[in-house]
Amino acid sequence: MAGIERRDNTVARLSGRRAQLLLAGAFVLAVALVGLTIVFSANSYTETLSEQDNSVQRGGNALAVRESVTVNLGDILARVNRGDVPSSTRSDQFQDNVTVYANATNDYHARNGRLVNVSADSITLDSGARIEQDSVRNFRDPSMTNSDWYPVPTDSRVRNMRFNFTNLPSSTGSPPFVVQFNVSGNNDWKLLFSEASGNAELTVDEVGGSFEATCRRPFDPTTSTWAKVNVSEATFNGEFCPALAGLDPAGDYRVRFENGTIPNGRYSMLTSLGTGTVPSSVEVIYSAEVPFRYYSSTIAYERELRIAPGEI
Amino acid sequence: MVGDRALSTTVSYTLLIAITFALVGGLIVGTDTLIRDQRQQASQDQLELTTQELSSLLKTADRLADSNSRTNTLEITYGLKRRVAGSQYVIVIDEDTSWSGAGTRYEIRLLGRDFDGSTRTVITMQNTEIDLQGGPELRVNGGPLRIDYDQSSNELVLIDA
Repeated sequence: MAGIERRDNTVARLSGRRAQLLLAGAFVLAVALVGLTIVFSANSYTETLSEQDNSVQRGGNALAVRESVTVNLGDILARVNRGDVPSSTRSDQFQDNVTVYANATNDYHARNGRLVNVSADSITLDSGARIEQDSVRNFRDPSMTNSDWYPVPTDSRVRNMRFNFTNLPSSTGSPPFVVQFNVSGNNDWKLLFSEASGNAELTVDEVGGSFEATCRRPFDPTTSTWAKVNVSEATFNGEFCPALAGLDPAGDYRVRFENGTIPNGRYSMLTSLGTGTVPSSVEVIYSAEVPFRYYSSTIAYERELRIAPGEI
Repeated sequence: MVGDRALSTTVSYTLLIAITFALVGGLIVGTDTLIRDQRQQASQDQLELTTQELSSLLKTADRLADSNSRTNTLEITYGLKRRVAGSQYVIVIDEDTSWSGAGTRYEIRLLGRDFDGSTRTVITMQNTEIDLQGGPELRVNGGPLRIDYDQSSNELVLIDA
């Protein structure tokens, strides 16, 4: 009996060891499957990561370079049009400056594997005129006879339009001072300037259209403060004016001043008309057309850049 | 002797093996389902990403071309993925004729060929139009793409690169 008991115990011990071996095998298999899943997931994740493109969207760089070149050439044009540059040398000075700029730009972008070419030899320049009242007086015509007149009498374009007022008509007793854009075949636009309750008011109105908006800034003509309006940059006393940002004449236009007797101040603008058409004006370069090329491994882009900063 | 009553070694082994196979089988089935769901999700995510890349590319080309006639040449080559999660896809572009605002509105859809996935986005082109090549919609195979600007018609032409 004791022998049988010992034999039964031995069988039981050996069975337990075989069962544990099977469990261990199953555990190893389960771990192997989980490991395989992890490997596949990691592979998919790595593949996704490697395909991510964090570089600038292709084409986005061409846009940025185009805008940068346009702004820089606009700065050169503004410098050349300054009063201290003789008008007879402006064209040559512009071309010379653009040549220097073009060479520097070409070298800079070549280091990054791109061809950026600004062709200084093929520039087309359009002359125009600067209309300016640089001393403080009312806004009548230069002969001081008409309060309603056309500073820009023929269809054209205007840029860099600025007004600095020392005095404005009161909104309660007088008609506002009006700068009107008479657009051929489309809605006219009006800028209405007045003063009310210690504020200078500027209203932009599309005649016959849906746009009308007003900006107000503190203004006290008795304390030598100015109301400064930059129509091209859409600012009023240095701050952004949403009403001016909405000014959008659709086509060429004439510019007319109305009720110019009461307001006092200065103004300045550049027009694409020649000095022969616009009296009391100074010849300037109004705009330039500059050939521009941008080539990279993925983009071929050629166009004419129109340089007319602040054009309305 | 009392501890051995109603105890069969064979039954123990059989139960052990059955439980082990049940557990391992369940693990395999669960993992398979998980991987399949993950792959479907990864495919959809990749399609979404590709759709956004394409719409961004078209908007950039629209801005480069501008609405005037001064752009003489514009060619953009972009390497969209040929396959998404191992499967091909097709790009479908059609015009939203009900759009009455400024510019031209297009609907862009990416459809998987071998898997059940699709994405949709809408873009508005302000300066140019997309050449639908005479049809109601444009179909292009997914993969490297070239966009050419046709100055005469002020349209962007999409071609397999």
